[in-house]
Amino acid sequence: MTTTYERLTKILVEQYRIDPERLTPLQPLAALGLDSLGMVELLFMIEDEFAVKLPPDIEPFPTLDSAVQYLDAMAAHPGKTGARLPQPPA
Amino acid sequence: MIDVAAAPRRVAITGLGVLSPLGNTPAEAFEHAVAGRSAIRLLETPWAPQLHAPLAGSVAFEAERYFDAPRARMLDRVSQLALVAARQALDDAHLQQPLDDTGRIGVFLGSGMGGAATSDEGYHALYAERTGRVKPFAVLMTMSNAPAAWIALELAVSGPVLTYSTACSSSAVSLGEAWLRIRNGQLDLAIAGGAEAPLCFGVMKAWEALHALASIDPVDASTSCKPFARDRSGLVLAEGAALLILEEWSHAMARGAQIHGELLGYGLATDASHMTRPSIAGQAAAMRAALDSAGCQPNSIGAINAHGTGTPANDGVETAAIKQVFDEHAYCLPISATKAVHGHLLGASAALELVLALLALRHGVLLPTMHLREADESCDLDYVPNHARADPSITTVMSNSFAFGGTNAVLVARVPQIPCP
Repeated sequence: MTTTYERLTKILVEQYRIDPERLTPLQPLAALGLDSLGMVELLFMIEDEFAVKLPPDIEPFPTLDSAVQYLDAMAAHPGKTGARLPQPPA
Repeated sequence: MIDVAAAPRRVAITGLGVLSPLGNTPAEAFEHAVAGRSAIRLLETPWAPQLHAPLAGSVAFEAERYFDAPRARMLDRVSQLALVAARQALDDAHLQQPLDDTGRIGVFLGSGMGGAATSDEGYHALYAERTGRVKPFAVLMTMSNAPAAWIALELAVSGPVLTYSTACSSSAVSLGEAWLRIRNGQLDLAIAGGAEAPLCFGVMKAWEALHALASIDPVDASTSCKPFARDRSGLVLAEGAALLILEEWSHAMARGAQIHGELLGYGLATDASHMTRPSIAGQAAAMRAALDSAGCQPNSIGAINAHGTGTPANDGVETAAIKQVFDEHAYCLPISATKAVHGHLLGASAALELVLALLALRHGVLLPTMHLREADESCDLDYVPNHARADPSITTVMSNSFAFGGTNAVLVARVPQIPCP
């Protein structure tokens, strides 16, 4: 079964043409060339890919790992769309 | 009359870029215009059957040929067309990118409807599909100044970057306003013209509601737009972009630029009488203002590129206005209306038509007004009906653009008297 991480990397590789070699869970997405607009767009793509509705005030995910944690938590608790955004690692 | 500073500078046209229903280079579009080959077709979109007359002039354009996926997603089709036409014009002018910008370069773009397709999609998503959301870049894609802003970003232009939206005269205004700034010394170079991408369901329905669109010719749909004809029934919507490089004359000469022509004059006048009904007085005033600013007498104009939409309202009024301005000379003036073959690109039409008119002068030919079997009784001038005509003697052309809202804009251009390569 495809993992959340694999589905996210697929978006970044196919939609943003990012070299898969550069993708790691803790790599800051900003360092991959995603500017603020690209980050916002990524939220929409995540909604489409995972068939979820993210809260309108959600902050962009700083890393793939933070997105994985958030989405997995949503999947585990389907009604809780306002879950606190995982913070980037220190 | 347009007030220009003393000792005005000359303005050369040194680059042309075109994406149009007639072709995706100036040469290709010109070739089809001379041959009178119409690009008007019946639309084959899923929503076309819901239109009374699903006619359009479409551009054969695949965005992925020109933009990577992340960038293409941020661009409405109108910006895509504008950017590619601008690149083409820059290449044609042999200007290196990024430009050597000292704040004396500007972008002047006309568009009547901006990112209309993105708006249409957004409304469909919200109201029909009830998705509760629109594209993340919807604002950036729909805003009217997006095409000009993208050109400025790509070319790193830091001077004035302006958008003009005066409906069907938008790109005549953008070219004229750029011309003014070069002429009066504010700028040395401008990328100017227009872009339009209105071929989406909502926009076409809106035009249909206005009863301005042509009905389908029962024999040949491609001949449905018939400027100046007795059986004309309306305009055909089209998309495309045409960008020109305007350059101060000595600036162009100093770098050895090819000169396609000289933009000589620009006249602007507003009807202020009705939102859609054209006015003889308004159109004539714009033509006179263009002649004044060009320093031309009426009899020094050799040909006219007509607004010539093929609507019942326009063509008789335009004919009367030409006669008012040119008096007896009007009967000696060949008048071409190329919208018959490329359709009405709204805010991009004037720029495309100026390109075609310039190339016609360069090649010593008068472009035909196609589908003109029998002229309307109110249209009794020489419209160069149905066949191109050789006339290498003509060097100066007036190009008319009149708009809903009443903004009439007229350009005058001439070609240097050198043979076409």
